[in-house]
Amino acid sequence: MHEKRLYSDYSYFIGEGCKKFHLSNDDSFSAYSDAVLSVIHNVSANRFDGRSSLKTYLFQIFSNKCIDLVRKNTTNKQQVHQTMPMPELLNQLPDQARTVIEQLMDQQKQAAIQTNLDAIGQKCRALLLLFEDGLTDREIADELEYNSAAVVKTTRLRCLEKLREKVQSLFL
Amino acid sequence: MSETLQYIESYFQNELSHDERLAFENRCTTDQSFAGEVAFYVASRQALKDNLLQNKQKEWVESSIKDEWKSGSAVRKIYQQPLFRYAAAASVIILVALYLEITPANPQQLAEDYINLNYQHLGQKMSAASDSIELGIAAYNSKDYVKAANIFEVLNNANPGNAELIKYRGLVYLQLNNYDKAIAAFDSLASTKNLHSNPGLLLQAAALLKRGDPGDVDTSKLLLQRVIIEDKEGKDEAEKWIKNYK
Repeated sequence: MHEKRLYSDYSYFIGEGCKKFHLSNDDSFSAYSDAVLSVIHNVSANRFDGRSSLKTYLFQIFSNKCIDLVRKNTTNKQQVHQTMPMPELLNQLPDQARTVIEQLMDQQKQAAIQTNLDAIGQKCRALLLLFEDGLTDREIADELEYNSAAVVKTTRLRCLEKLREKVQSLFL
Repeated sequence: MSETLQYIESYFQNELSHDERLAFENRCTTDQSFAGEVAFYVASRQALKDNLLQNKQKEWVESSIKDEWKSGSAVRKIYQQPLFRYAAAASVIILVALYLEITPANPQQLAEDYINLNYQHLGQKMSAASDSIELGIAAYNSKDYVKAANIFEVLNNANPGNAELIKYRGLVYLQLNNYDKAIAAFDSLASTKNLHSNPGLLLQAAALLKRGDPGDVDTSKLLLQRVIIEDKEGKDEAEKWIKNYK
């Protein structure tokens, strides 16, 4: 509900992204949706300290996402092979470890995972997506009527393992 | 359940201690198989995130389309007519004007307006006994309230019973939002006897309304009632304000 409200209240940013960063409508839309999700996650995780208005905060994140896309588009034009945007999780790793992990990932592996997300079953997929949406294991337990947060965590990791078995050969 | 996946998740959920984090990061660079597991975990989370984003985008777009549909495309065409836009702008102006005319102001706003209208600028005294008062008034009128406060404070100490100086002192503290001192000064002014006109009570009520501490509104009402009953300076104003108390 709040997501939709936030999304629709500032959806005019999409047009500004096109004009200011010379992005296509699709790219600007993608950056905007991504920014809305990030804002919601950050607010839920108490990472938004309220020093600026929510609109300013959203616009800042949106601008950063647009810049990332501009960089990606510029890089791609100069390369034969398409690169993929760096996953945000990698930012948590120090430089050396990040480089190692990044080298082990490419678009092909990412695509294989995407394809196999359907193969792990609807329940597993829904569970993993709720976690990705920022819900805690406790909240997922309430939403999907599991006995406890611990059960959710175990099930969730089993689902990930199921996915890993399907793409294991690619990551060895 | 894979303990490795659990371990990797603990890292990315910030559940490991500092030393454990260092060990994890070190293992990424030295253990190829472990690095592969981490790469899988990160890639999976990213794939899930992309998936989630796609779902949300679809949902939001559908919702926007529905909202637009609900608001009516035929009606929107009318909105786009220039005549409609001029009419809408005119209506807004009329509504705002009506709102300002009809909506009763609260006493705080009335007090604020009264001070702004009557005491933004103090009249210069051609026959003032002291040049220092003129200096204080000049500082007040040029909005150098700190300087004006210093001048009136010194003059007030030298002439403790001078009602005019007490009033200026109160006004300058009111402008500095130092309501406690302003209220004390106006209280002192109000209790000064044998003055041809004394706005002390009304100004004290205005300062109380501006301060807005608990009980201030009730006290200001009592003061305004006194202004009316005792037929003090500002009676008309007091009657106007008192009508707007809830």
